[in-house]
Amino acid sequence: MLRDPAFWAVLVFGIVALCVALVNGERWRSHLNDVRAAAAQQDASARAVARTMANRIDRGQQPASVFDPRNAFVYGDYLMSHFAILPATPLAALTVGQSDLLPSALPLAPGRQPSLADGAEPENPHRLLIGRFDTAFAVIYLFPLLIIGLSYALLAGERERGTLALLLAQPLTLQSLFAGKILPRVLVIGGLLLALAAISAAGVPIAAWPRLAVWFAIAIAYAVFWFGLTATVVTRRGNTSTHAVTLAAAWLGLTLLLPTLVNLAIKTMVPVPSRIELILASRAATDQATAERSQLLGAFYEDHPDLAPAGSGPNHGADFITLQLVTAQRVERDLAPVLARFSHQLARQRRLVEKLKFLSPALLAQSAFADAAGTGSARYDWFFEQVRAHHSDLRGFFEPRVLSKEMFTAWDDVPSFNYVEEESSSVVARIMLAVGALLCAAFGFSLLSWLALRRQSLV
Amino acid sequence: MIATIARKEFIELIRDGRFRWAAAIVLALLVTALLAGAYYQRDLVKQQRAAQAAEQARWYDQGSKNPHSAAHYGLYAFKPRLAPAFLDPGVEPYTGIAVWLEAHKQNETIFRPSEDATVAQRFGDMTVALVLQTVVPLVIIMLGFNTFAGERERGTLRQLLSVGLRARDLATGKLLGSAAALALIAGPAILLGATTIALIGPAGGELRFMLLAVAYLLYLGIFLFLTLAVSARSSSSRLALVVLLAFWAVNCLLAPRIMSDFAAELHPLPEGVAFKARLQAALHDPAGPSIMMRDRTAELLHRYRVTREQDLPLNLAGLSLQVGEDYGYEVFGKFYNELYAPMEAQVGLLQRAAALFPQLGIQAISMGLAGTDLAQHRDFTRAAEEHRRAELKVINDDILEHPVKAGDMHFGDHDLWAKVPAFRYQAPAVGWVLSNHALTFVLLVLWFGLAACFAWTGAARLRPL
Repeated sequence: MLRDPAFWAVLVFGIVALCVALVNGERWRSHLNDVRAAAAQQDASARAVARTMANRIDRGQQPASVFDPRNAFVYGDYLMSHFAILPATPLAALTVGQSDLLPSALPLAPGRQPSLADGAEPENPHRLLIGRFDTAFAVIYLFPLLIIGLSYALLAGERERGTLALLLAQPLTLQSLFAGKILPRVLVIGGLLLALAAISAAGVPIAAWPRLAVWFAIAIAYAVFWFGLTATVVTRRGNTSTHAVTLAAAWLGLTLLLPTLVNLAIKTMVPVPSRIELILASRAATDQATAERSQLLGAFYEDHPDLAPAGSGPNHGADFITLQLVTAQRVERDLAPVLARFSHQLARQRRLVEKLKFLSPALLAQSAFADAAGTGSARYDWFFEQVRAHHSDLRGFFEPRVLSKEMFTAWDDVPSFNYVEEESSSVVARIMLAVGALLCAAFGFSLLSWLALRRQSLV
Repeated sequence: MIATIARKEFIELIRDGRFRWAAAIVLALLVTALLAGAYYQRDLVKQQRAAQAAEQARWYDQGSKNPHSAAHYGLYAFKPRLAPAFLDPGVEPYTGIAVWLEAHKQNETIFRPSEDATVAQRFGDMTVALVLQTVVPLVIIMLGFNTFAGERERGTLRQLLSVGLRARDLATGKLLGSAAALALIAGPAILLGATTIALIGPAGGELRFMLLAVAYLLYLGIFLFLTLAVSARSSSSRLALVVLLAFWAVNCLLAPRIMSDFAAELHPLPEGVAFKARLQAALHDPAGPSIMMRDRTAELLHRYRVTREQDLPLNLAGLSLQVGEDYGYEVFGKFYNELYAPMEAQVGLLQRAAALFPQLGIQAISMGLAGTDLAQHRDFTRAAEEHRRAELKVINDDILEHPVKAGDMHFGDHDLWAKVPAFRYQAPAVGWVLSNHALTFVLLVLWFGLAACFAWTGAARLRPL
């Protein structure tokens, strides 16, 4: 095998691809860390600006404008730069996952419902469509090609050259011959993966090793799956070309076509309503709330008699801010069922993809890789749940201060967001299922090829 | 003679089990992609139209209110979808579907469909474009790799050439035969596509469809010629297959990602959080509009031949609002350019990379003709922004022209709202799209020519061994 130029071509190609992927991923990770740093800095500088400005207004060096930082409403919704920052895992360099689509630093304001659609990094949609060349991509798409390239001519090649009969004239069974031939190939691919694992392990802190181990467990299971599939094909009758074509078609089907079909199935079976509907609903709700403003205010002051101003008139003498608040609350209440429908359907989609991903090893591996690297939907969901809780804290902090209309100076007391990482064990448990499924399939394939070898006549 | 060879090649191919399987799979995929695409298309077009009409009505019927409140109320512009978009949705999953046109802010489009999708979305949609760009080339390779190499291995090539058959006739015959076999797949596919298009409409995309068909024929022609060329030159069919599969994998799979990442290295985008902070700072810079305000006020004083502002028969709040907007246009223009110029440079580089990989060429042209590339998304946002500016001008002029006494309020009514024409987006003409992709088209034609030459010379020098 070492004398075969194809082997060296495959090896060099594999190494180059992995290096490019690693560098690429690491650069993206450091870019996202810049984003997080910029967010933290922005947060601090907005506070500093507010304090300076308030000082100047207090000392009469500057007239108070609409954007007065001493007003809790203005500060909370307009001047504050408040972010919920999702820290990067050290493994983010291995899998870009959803991190190019979803935010690393989510901007929050008390008056606006948090949404994962806010604060995503600006990115070229064309590039989002194409995807990135990261290590997960190299393992998912290129490794199967390397495995196929190394092994497609395993038995048929010998048969075509006529050397198979010669070899089997030795005291050797077909099975052991096959095992002897496939083993060095397994070692090459395994060696590549191990080298990659060693480099990655050196680059990440020890605390991240469990996740790293899981990541490589997936990579290994995935490679084993493709070895199994390749073995099943090459132990069948037929010539090298037939085997190569079959394997290429299998690769195309499993990695490129099946995931798109799964995507289609999910969108068809559990369609998410169009966001156009949401826009129209929110416009209608705003109109409605504006029309009913004076009733809304009446009800509001019945609930909060202490806040009611002395004046009267169509708006009960309420100021702009109270009006805003009351209207926004109503709009939010009206939209809640519409938004719930979206999240309900999305959750159903999520559950469906959790089942259907087992149809395609590529889809299975991609979601497991992203999960292990902390760039998958599971971690963003986990993050967003905390964001929601934090957002209600934020409201709890601002709302009484806004309504009391007292001078606001508590810029530094705004509760800050502290992300709590998910337990590694639950991540590992989730992923082990995927690893198990890949290994099971690989075992099935091995069994098939072993049976095929037993049945085969020797030449 | 050529006809005989072509007939033999054709019959051999269609009797081949591999061909039948491939044809069945390709057709099944195409039908799936067409049906799914058409289904979404019909829904989307209907929804978009209804929503735009509803929004427009909402604007006109907003009742009597302060004109500036109306400007804040604004209008949503929904991005319409061209008919061919269902063949290749392009960047649509990653661009927003609507933009809110309001006072003071040039908003970005919101609600990217990919945000409402699962991880499977990142693998892409099952579309006609995917089948034609990736699957059919593989089918061509599978069917054609042993056209010559196989005959050579079986020794039949020597027989053929020994009876005095010219190598080029053999090549032409084989080309025609395989092309005819492929036409058996393409024929029903085109028929199906045409029917779907006729059924769903909206009409008007015919020219785009025809050009799309031409582009795809060019692209698939490149693969057919390359396959024949490599097959004619390879000593064994196995070598031919490996070379062709490697080219296919690099072209369809590796090239887009590598070139895209390379383009991003060359033309990086600004970092988002700091970018937004700088934008906000520039927008709220009080020095910005103040000079503009002073000059315009002076201009008005001069025009009305008065010296004091309070003598003007105008409400200067209207001028101040318009000046604020004009300053905002400048700032937004500058910042969005900082954001989109590198994106356009990235896309441009990907288009030029068609010189190396035809896949990048067909991808760009296909999205362009389908109306789903970045340039056409940008064109929509440009039109929406133009509408916003026209609307604000009407509103602010009205405020300017209606001076109010202290404590009084001026209200706009239906007549004022009706001065703003309805938002109607006209998609760019095919000529505009073609001029964007002229170089890519040339590169694709060059690829086609080179591949044909390669096949021709390969066939001319056909060696029996």
